[in-house]
Amino acid sequence: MISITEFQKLAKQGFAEIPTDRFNASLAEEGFILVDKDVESIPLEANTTIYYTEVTTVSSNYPSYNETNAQDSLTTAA
Amino acid sequence: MLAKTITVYHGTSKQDAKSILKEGFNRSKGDHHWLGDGVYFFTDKLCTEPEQNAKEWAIAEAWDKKQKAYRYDEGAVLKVELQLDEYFLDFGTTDGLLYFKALKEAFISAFNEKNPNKNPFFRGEYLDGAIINFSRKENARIRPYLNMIFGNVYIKNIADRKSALNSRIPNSSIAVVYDLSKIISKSISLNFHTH
Repeated sequence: MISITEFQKLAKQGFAEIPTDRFNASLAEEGFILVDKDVESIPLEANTTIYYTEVTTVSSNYPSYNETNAQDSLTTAA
Repeated sequence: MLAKTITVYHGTSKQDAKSILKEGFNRSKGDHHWLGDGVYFFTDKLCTEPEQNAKEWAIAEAWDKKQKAYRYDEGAVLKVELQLDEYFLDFGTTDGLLYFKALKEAFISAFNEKNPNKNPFFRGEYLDGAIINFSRKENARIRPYLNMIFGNVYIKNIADRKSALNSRIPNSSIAVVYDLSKIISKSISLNFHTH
């Protein structure tokens, strides 16, 4: 077997030689989605399970926690 | 010099075992297959009873969780002789893990160079198989080193599946073969009822 350093060098060379269009098309075939770095949300499919949805929805109904409304939140919860 | 061979085991239905003897193996597809699209075998690297592992796998696979019924009543284990490739990765060793780390880092680095304004979001469950598939398909320089991979994994037996028990501690060793010409002989070593 070749050394790990040589292996990594070959891997880098091999990936660099792939044209970007082909690289990205093949990524998509393997299940990757490319997302703009300045986009915070990920374009999930409609049938994708999002386990935190319920938590997000519930918490959005409550006032944000800060010193001013902390007592109100606590009172509401009680 | 004679090439080194190893004995490995593949559990399946009796019907599929007969078909494999006639037609040969098909590669399993999909990233839920731990190490990418290849033919999977049990080996004795970690567990001393790979034939038993293969039998348990065939029994577990027979159980259809949704239908709560058995897909097949008769199972079989195929005993297979593999020609050990000159180059192979063994994720049961420190070196093997370092090779995979190097491959993953090179993959991510290449992605960032080609897509400086994008992030990759992976829709599958496990990244490992996707990286191996991608590397084998697209990276001509690294492909010769990815013909055969060994790894230690946790595999649910039928009791674990029925009880929805899970674990992360490996209980078996697998060999994944991508180059099917490395399979030099096969025969049925066990026949059994799945329930």
